[in-house]
Amino acid sequence: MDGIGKALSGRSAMGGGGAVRDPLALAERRLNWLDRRQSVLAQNVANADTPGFRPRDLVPFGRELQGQLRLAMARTSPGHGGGNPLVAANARTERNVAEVAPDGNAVSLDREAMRIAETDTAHQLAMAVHRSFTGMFRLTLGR
Amino acid sequence: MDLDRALRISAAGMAAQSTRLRVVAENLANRDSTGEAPGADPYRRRTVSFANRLDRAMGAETVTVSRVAGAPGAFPTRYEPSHPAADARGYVKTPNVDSLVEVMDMREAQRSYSANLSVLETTRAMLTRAIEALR
Repeated sequence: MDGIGKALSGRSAMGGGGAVRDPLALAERRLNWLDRRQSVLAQNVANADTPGFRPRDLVPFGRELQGQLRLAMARTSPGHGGGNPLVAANARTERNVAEVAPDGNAVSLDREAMRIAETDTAHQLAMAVHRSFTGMFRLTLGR
Repeated sequence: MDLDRALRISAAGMAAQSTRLRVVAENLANRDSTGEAPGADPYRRRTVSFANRLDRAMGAETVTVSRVAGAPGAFPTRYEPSHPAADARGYVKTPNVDSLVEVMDMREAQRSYSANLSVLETTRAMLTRAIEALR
């Protein structure tokens, strides 16, 4: 039953180092990652006509999760610990871009649209997992 | 919150594209604006430049119109001696606005605007879904 307490307190999702086998905590992490990704993708689309802009994307969720399983340094702000503070944590500039416009812009709108659709679907799935698990807790508690 | 940030980034993108559309409208409207004095320069086509800008209050990078500047290029001339702006040889300078180029620019602005709008709608759907989980 310690899984319930951990998941409901939210510590296991945010603190790192906790068991990621807990479906609720995993769903929460996934949602957090999807939120951040959506904001990075919105940036790409907004800068679709900015000269010299290169699109960015987050490190894939699976790899980020593996990285979090190891001990990570605690940070009080995402800007700390090197890197460009303007860029969301773990966002990296894409290397293999489809095409580069004469002004140096490498955003391809169809690619971004595909990623946004992907993020949306994944968000639906994560929310459904979260909802069905909290439903089970509710059932157990009789509320 | 990241979704909130995504909403604002999309809104900034839409604002930048509307500025671009406004400039296109200005160019098209002034397609025939010649000078008034003999030999005077006519309306010069204007273009927008976009730049990636950090919004400190929001802690994210958004897009903004960095500059609206006159486009370089020679003015085409037209022979019309009776025109008030005609020079000594009877030629009038006309604006360097090409309506074909402007229409293409307008289409591009429109496409970028809708792309931002669809991101905004997706983000909104995600937010709504998250709020519904509270019920």
